[in-house]
Amino acid sequence: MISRRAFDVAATTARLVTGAAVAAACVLGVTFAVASPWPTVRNSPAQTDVTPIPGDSVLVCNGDLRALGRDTSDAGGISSAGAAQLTTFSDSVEPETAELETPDFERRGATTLLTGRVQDRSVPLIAAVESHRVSAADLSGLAVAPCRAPRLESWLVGASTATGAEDLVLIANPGDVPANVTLSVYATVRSSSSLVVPAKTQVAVSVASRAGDTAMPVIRIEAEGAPVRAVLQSSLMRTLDPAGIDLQDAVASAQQRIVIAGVRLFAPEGDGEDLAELRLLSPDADTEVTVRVTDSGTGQPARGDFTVPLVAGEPMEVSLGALADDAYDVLIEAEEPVVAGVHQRDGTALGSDLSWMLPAPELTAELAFAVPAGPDPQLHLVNTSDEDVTVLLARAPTGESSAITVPAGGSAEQALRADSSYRMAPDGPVHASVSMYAPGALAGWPLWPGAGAGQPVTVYP
Amino acid sequence: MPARVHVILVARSGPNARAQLLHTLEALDAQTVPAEGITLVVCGDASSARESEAISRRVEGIIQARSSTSFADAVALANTRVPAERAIWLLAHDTAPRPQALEQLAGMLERSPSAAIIAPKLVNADDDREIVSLGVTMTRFGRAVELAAGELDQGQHDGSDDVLGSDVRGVLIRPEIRGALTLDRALAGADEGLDLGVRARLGGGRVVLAPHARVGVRRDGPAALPAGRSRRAYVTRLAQLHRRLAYAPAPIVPLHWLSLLPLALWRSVVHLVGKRPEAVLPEWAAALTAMTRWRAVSRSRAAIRAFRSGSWASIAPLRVTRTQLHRRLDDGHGSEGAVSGELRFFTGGGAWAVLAALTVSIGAFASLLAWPVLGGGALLPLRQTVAGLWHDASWGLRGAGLDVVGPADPFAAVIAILGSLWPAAPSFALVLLWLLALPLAVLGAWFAATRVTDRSGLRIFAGAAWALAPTFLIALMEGRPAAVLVHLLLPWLFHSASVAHRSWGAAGAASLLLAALLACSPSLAAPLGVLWLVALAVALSRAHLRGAVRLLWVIVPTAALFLPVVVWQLRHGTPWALLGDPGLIWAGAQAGADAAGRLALATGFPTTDVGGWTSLLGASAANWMPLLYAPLAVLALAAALSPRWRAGVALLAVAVLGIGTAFFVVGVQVSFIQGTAVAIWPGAGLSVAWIGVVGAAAVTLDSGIVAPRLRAVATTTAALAIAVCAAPMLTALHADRSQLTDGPRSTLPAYVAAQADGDRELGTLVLTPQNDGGLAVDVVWGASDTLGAQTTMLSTATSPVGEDISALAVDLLSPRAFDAPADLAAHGISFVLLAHVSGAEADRARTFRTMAVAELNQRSGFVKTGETARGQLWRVETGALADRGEPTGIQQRSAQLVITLQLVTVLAALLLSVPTRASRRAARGKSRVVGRPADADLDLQRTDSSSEWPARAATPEASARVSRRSPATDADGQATPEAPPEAGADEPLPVAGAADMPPAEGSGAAGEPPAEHTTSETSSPPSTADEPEEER
Repeated sequence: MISRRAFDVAATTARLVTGAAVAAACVLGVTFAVASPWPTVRNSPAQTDVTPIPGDSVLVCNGDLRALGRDTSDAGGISSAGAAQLTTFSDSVEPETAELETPDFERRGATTLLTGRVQDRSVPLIAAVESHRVSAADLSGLAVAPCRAPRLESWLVGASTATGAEDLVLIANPGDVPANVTLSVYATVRSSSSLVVPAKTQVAVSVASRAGDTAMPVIRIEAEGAPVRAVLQSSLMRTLDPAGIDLQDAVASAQQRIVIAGVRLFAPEGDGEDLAELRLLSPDADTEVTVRVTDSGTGQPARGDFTVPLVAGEPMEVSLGALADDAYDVLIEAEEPVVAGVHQRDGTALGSDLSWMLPAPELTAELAFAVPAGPDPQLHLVNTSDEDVTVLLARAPTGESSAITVPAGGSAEQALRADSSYRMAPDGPVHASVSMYAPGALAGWPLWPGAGAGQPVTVYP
Repeated sequence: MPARVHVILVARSGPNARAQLLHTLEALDAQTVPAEGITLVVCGDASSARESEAISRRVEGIIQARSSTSFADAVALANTRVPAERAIWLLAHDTAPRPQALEQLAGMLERSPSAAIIAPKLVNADDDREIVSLGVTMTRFGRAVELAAGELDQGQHDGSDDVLGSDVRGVLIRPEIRGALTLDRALAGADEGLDLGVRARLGGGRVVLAPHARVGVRRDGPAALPAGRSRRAYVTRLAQLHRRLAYAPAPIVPLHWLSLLPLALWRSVVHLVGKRPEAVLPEWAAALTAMTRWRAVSRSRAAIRAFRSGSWASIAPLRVTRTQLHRRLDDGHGSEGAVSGELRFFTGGGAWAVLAALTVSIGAFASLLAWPVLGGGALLPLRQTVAGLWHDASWGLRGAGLDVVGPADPFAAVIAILGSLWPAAPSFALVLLWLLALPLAVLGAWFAATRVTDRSGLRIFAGAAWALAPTFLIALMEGRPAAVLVHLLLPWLFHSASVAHRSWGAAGAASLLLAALLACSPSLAAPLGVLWLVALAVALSRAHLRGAVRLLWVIVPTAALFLPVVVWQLRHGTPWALLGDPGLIWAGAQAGADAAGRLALATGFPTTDVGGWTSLLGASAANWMPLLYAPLAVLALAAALSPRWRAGVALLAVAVLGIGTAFFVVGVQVSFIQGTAVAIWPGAGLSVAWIGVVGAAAVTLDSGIVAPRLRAVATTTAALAIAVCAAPMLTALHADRSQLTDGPRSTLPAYVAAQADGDRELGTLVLTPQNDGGLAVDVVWGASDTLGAQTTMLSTATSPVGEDISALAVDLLSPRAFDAPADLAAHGISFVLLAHVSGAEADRARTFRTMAVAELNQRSGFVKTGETARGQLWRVETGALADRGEPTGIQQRSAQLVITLQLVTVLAALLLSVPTRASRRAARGKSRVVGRPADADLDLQRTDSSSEWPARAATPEASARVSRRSPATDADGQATPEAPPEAGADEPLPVAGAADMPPAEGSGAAGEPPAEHTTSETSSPPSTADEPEEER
């Protein structure tokens, strides 16, 4: 009996000890498994790279600079203030040129349409830029506008209806059918109107007539039927003195990450007003944007980051603050897509000039750009990616080239030669713009990807 | 003068047969009336028989035949040697006649002039009292029926003498007729004696029994039925069919011949329902053999014709009638010993728990009551028609992609079954599933818990814990239909698979559930495969072969359903893709393949937001909330220490396997949605882990904690903690933290949905610009992308499947001038949808999309039908729309083959799982709880009635000691507990609960003779009832 009882006790003890060991092993095993690395299996998704077949590359130029109300008998009448100086680039074949009609006014020069025809499934690299340097009683300063492909959607960020401002929206339809164009004005009050732009025609629309007396209007231009090219020509009179002209490029679309490269800032004179404002608009939703200003060339922050709350559909202007005379890059991040532009001017007195610097899109493929005659042209490159990017820059036609390394998250500057053209080939994503400055002559424009440049698209079937 | 008798003795070669042969020869020597001569036929090598002096001395001749020679053939060989005037006595090496056998037989032959055949009483060679055969008759349809086989010989049949036939062994055949009445060699080993009797009667003779002539036989003799079940089924069925063709009137024979295959089909169904799957193949083999043996049938018919003098009507009185059969029908009722008691689903509160879960479910999903279609997460609408659902579930042209022909995911079949439950609007079936998910989970887990415990309270605890599993609630709130189905199916699989080795019914049900479960989550193949292998190894190591065969069947339907998919993936070189989740791939939040993710998984949560606590309390406080599962975890771990430690350790192993699966699959990224890789959902693995944890906790509560009050406290604590932790998940829909949405009825714009109403196969090309600058291209057929149309062939593809239209899609968005409408129409596409990427759209995607809109707007033949919530839609204007590609002839034939095979397998499993009276009775004969001796069940049945009683003993050891102190234990060495010394007479006596139980078999640990209750007034209920499995 005793031996049996001893056996029972021993069996129970063995059971308890084994059970405790098993339980402990479970806990330890799971704990160890949490901490230790596990094998992973990773397949790659089915994907094909397809290079789209390019279409003809079409560039629409702007033509003459307009002057309003020079004829005293017709206050709203438009007259030509001078023909544009056109600088073009083409790599292989000369582009076909044509002229657009301008029924509004008697022009002196031509409103040129350049077409690079596709040859052997490749599209020729063409570029063109127009510049105006005027010094008249009502207009003075430097204005530069690149010739661009027409678009269905364009944003004109920097319109003004202030006293002394004479802003014109120039809409060109290079297509063969009329375009039905809708202008939506984002301001404290939202309004929209539409007009028909006939085929092969350029028309001018006064901002004041569409936007009324609203401050800081942002205009969205949507075309149906045919894409159009929209440009904003602005000029400013301070009392009776001309205070600058500008040909303002369109912004393609609202974006969440915006890079405005090569903004020229000037220290305010005395205790005067700041000379640079950033205009922002979130078209669809309330959001908050973070703005960072860095020195162009070094990429060092020029001032502390700041955030701006935006109300949907209402444009907002913030001062970039008093910074030393230099070129800067403005980097914007937002939760929702926004449009932005920087209003820059070199003074407020007679002989000063103004210009709007606009967002520079991401460039990944080779492109060409032309630099018009003008003072001190500078190329500003910004790299927001995590890897250094090398940009090959070659001047046409001599072919003299240089390689510029843009550090990751940094920027670079390169002096350019006026009245010439370049090919640029980055090996990674960069943003680029060109600025020109001499006292009383300020201009800047971003570089866009080459029209119709066939970049492969990754397709996930 | 008595007839002169010649013995024909058929023997096999081999030492065992030789020993029996010698024994038989000695028995022949010992006959009171000697035989005139003995002819020995040896099937096989006869040299040892020839050399043996003991044999050759006794026999007049030895014939050597091939080892495959049948008894009938062997007899035919010897028959020619026997002089014509002698009667023959057919014996085999295993048939040892008792000394008076020949005297009785020969005497009967002499006394009965009309007798053609005299049959002895065959008894078991080792047990004279067991009748092996005494007369055989047949039914109207020719089935042979033994008249007295298996009965205990009490002389009850000794009065009868006139029978239709007999077993062929030991019969004495009258010399005058034996030339005409030879054994039919086509019968292949069964019913020879019956056939002989029938023919004798047709020729005017009789078969007369000589009950006092006893012949001892063994089971494995040359003239006995084969021992293997399949073999025996084959020979008996073949003999029956052959006799049917031989006996039938000539004009009817073709009809019988035509009926053979349909009958085989019907009888296969009956075999499966009757849980005799081993008889199915022999059934077909017998039918096919009988169909092809024209010559044997005509020979048999000629033999009958030659001998026949009377009419077939003379057979009729001796056939067994339906009434007699009914009277003989002994289905074993009452023989099972009723080990398991009542289920007590209603009386034990299970029904109330389900009802409570339904109330909670309606509270948690109140808004679903008004939703016609469920959306959000990985949910999609279902097809609009049942036909469409089943078309998606079969091999052929897939409902997505372009010309994608191949196997359907088994998940599509699950969806088809689900959708067919609400044929008018299949999508509503998902809403119902969501509403009923919680009660169904409780119901399933309650039944699963019957395999672990007999206590009603613990079963309800298991049901509640299962329904409140975090992985289940998160799957519900995130809209993951496959994971929800896994959680609902798993307890039923546990319920059936844990007893699959016991019965074919359970194995059939388990095989179907396993197929459905793996269809919902193929990644569970790993842990379930391991468990299956372990179970198989255990069954084999215990030499439980029939159990192992049943376990083998469990994976057969799964294999049949998955085989085409496996072949497809292997041919595409992507074996890992087999683990990929079926259905819509959704890149929702889930635990990652890092230590933080694995920690969340180890605490039971498949996501990292701690089941919604993060949004309620903030991350730092929420990270402590998994501690609410600590009581459950502690109880589960303690199962390894409990008296039922085997069950505890097994369940802990299941839990660890489940957690391991979850850890592994979060690192497996084989599925893609629009180019984004998505890891496998780890929640399914966690469901497996949860069943192990809850089961182990139930084991501890059932057997480890003895004090009822302590058990109640522990159960309540664990349950309350689980319920508290589940609160934010249950309220997620009201707090707007859920992904569930009302609809949409279609993932396509309403215009397309209206055009393609009723599952019209309109093609829509869906282009989605991606945030990385890429373009996702899908082709959707019909009114909407549907859950059943999803296929892992596309979602796990690493190279384009079907016709690749990437180039066409990009060309559409490029300035290239071509006849785009015609190209699209050639593929059967009538709409182009430019969709937004789901989630936040980045700049690149937006730029791409605006560019694409511009290009598509300018295309001629593209009619813009407007901006919708899903994106911009264009209708392609074209003259003739090409039909969708049809599968080629070879593809269609292979599809038919595959579908037929799958249907046959699934049907077989379904028939196997249909419960019958016999199968239910057999199940009652075994303990419902797995892993516990059957006799322990009886003790637990009374624990409910005695649960108010505070146990005297705090631990099993203590109570065992108490019981062993009783004199009864000392006397017979069995624990027969008397009243514990502490139990006073004033204690309440819950005797009634114990008294109405059947007497315990074998008086187990606490088995208490009922007599104790009647004699002893002071006897207390056994406090030892709580340690049913005291390990001794």
